[in-house]
Amino acid sequence: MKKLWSWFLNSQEMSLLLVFIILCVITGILNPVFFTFRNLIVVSRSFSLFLIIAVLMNFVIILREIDLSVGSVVALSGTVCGLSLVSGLSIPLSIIIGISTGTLMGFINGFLITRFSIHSFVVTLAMLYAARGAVYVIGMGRPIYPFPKSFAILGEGKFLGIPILVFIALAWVIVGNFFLAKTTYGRAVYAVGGNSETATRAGLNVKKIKQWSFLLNGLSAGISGVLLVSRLSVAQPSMGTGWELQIIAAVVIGGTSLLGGEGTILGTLIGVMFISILNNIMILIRINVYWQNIVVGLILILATILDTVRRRKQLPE
Amino acid sequence: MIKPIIEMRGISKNFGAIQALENVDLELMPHEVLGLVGDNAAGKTTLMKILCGRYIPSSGRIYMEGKKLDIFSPFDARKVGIETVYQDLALADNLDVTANIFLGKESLRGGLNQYFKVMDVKRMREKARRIIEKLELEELDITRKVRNLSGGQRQVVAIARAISFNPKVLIMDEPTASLAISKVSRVLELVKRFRKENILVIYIGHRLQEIFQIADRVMILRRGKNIGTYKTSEISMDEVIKLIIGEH
Repeated sequence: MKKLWSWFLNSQEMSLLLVFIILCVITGILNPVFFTFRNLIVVSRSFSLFLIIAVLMNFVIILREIDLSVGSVVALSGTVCGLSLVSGLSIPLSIIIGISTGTLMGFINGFLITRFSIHSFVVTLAMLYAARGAVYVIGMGRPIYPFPKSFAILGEGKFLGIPILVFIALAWVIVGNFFLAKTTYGRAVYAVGGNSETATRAGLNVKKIKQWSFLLNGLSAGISGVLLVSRLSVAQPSMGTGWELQIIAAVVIGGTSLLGGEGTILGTLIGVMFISILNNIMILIRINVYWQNIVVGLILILATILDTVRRRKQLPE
Repeated sequence: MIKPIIEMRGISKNFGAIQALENVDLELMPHEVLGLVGDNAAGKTTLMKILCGRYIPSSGRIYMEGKKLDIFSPFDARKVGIETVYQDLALADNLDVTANIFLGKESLRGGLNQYFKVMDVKRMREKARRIIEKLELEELDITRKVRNLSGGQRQVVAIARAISFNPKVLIMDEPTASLAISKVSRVLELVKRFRKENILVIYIGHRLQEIFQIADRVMILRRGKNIGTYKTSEISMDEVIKLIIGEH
């Protein structure tokens, strides 16, 4: 029994999955609406938008860095895309411009962090403010609409009854996992995150790895921002507010350590499922909105404690 | 006249007000093991970190086979075949043995990586197994995470990483420091094997008995200066100690 328990504790993905299933079952009992197809479709959309960013946030956190700017970058990318659409640019072009905006913000983050050796917390916090400010400047604080009807297909459309967003997100997960687990880049991410001095001595280009990771995180925020705007059919200046914390929480709950060097895409996937379901559950059982934040905070602490316990067990004798 | 393979000329290094190295010359001749000795803070590790690209000298030049080398990073050094077994091993604890052995060279072609290349993990594992076997030092599970290995096993992984692609020069910084006494002689045998396989070795050590067992010449540093290089056959351990501590 003790052996089973220890395997259980040590396989973070399995234990997380189990908690997740228990959570779903409890919710289903408390409010059967949870299991309706319609509800799950709604959940799956926000889940997909989070997941696209979470995959890359996973890389960033494994690198022992952080990116607080993703919510604002989502908004900025979506706003730029929206503005392009209402000024008459074609849908493909507007999408590209939107995604490029996110990528550029990510590049700026990475550049400032590596070139001037500023802590990522500071740089991305600054970007959080600056990008949000830019949203209000260029959008003049107003919602942006209307968009051509066909633009909504990405965000609202379904294929075989499942939202297209889900397919996009899952494709992104598969690609992300491939990069992390099977390429030299992914290997370098783990090495740099675990011990950047070791990585440097092995000849790895630590700066390049970090620059690319922040750029790709910005890219993912850009994609998510464009898809969000497609789903909402309007670009609101308040879009994406608070996303960074939810996404970071999801990644940490999924087993990625804030101290770097550990983490899997599968864990991130489960972590995002967890956060999405949690948000949904609290709405369905009508928990007060303010209590919802307390719950998320508690769970985040629990996940971190579990990670610390697991790390302590791993230390060599 | 036999020309040296590696030359370091006029190497100085200061960290702010601290002069760690002052105008140091080093020559590494073909087919030799060069012992590098000196008291603590004599500058041995600093000199080697310059050769392996971790530090950039404040002045001085490095030559390989007569050609000037531009070593600005460990990448540059590894590229020309200078490998290092660091005193603190510099292993990635969170990765397994195979990943550590091929860290930076996962393409298995000997050259350093470009990023975003796919890894052939199966081939890497096979090659890692063969390298560990050839060393004949310890048995290892090459899929284990390095943090779960003993000190001696970690040492083996660090050595394996350095020799995985037949380096030209191997710098070993106190390789026997954390080893059980029974294992020390095996490492020394290994160094002799390296010499036979035409890998030049610079061996930093504290225990002069080891140095005299395997080194052809011994170079002595004291307070950042090169006090002299002597053939181990032409000098006694006592004289070396005197030179290290500055008694004459």
